[in-house]
Amino acid sequence: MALRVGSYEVDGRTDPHPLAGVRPDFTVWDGPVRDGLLGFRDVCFSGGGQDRRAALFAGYAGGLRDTFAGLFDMSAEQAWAEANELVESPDVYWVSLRVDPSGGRTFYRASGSC
Amino acid sequence: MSLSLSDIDWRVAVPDVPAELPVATVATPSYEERLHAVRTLHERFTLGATVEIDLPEGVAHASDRGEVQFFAASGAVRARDARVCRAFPDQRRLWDDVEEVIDGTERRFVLGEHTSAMLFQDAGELLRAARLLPDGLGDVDVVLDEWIKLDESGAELDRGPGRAVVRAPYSVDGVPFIGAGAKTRLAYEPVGGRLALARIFHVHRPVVEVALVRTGGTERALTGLLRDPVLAGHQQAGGRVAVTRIQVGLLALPAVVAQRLVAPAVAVAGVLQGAGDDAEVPFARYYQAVSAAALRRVGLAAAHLPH
Repeated sequence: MALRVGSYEVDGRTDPHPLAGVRPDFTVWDGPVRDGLLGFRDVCFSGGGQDRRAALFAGYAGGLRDTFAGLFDMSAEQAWAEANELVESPDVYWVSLRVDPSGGRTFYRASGSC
Repeated sequence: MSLSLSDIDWRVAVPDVPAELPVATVATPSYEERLHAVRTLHERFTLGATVEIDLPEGVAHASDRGEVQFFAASGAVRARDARVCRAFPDQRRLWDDVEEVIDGTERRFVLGEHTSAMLFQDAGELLRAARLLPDGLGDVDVVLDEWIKLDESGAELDRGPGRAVVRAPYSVDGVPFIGAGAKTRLAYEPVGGRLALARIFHVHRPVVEVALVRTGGTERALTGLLRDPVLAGHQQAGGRVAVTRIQVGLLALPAVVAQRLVAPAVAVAGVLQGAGDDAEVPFARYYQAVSAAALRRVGLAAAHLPH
């Protein structure tokens, strides 16, 4: 599973998208991140209650903040980790990918246990 | 259409599933029962004046300093210090005592014993104060998130550790809980030379009764895997199914899902090979390891309802 965050914000810039026009070969990396920004290091489960993942992520990534006047303020990466901690076992690893905020065509790939 | 054990490319040992495994009846702590934990975490994170918010999953108390959240389906609680979480622009962290170890083909960062001990002590004290130390606690460990800097071809330029997470699993009668619904996690950050708790998540439904249920042995217990229509269809189409990870345990569902019976299950991860191209497609699924009939024989699985 890979998700694209359309208004991903890096260092205050949201437009154009920081990955616009960049076509790195994500498939050489060790996870199915592909051309998305959020994903998993190897696998994620289905069939054990994981169908709530998307709604939880949407809430933490912006829905709750927009509804409750700035509360639950967290980045998309943190929201992804929060949502997956709720629905995945600890042997699953979330992954996020972001462009280097200092500029250049380099990227940061972060991962952690759910 | 189904697979046999020999149809599968086993890259790990086939588990020896006991003839009987426990099945746990669990309780769901109410908001009132978790109120002490909610107050303790509210105080620890100095959330100040919070607003109480009804959410689809339960109740939250939130301020601009963070929030503490109760999940009604499971009695789980999570809490977060928003100021600590905002203290870093990215995942890079500077720890005083971290070493990089090579474990087979895997490289990972390990926190030193002194810092780990400090985290264990703080985590234990907080969980005890919040009354979140239930029976069945397993071996606690600490892991580090990690980051890797890459160029646009995917080549690694640099790597390092991220936040530290203290993790606690649970078991019953020596059988581990698997899945998302039985764990405690506390994430720490190195802020200004001190260790700061950034967030905590605890989900574990208290076990109120344990019964033994027949599995029928390994092949019967793996019926769900062997009859998975996607895997069997892949094999029939000329592909190959490889299992890379398998664990037998009691499947605790996520904190947002109600659950009364925690029954034996297998967590299986693997890859689908062949079938048209050289790509390997990963899969991961949970399968029940006991039948509904076996649960009914011990008075569970709606045995009191008409067939």
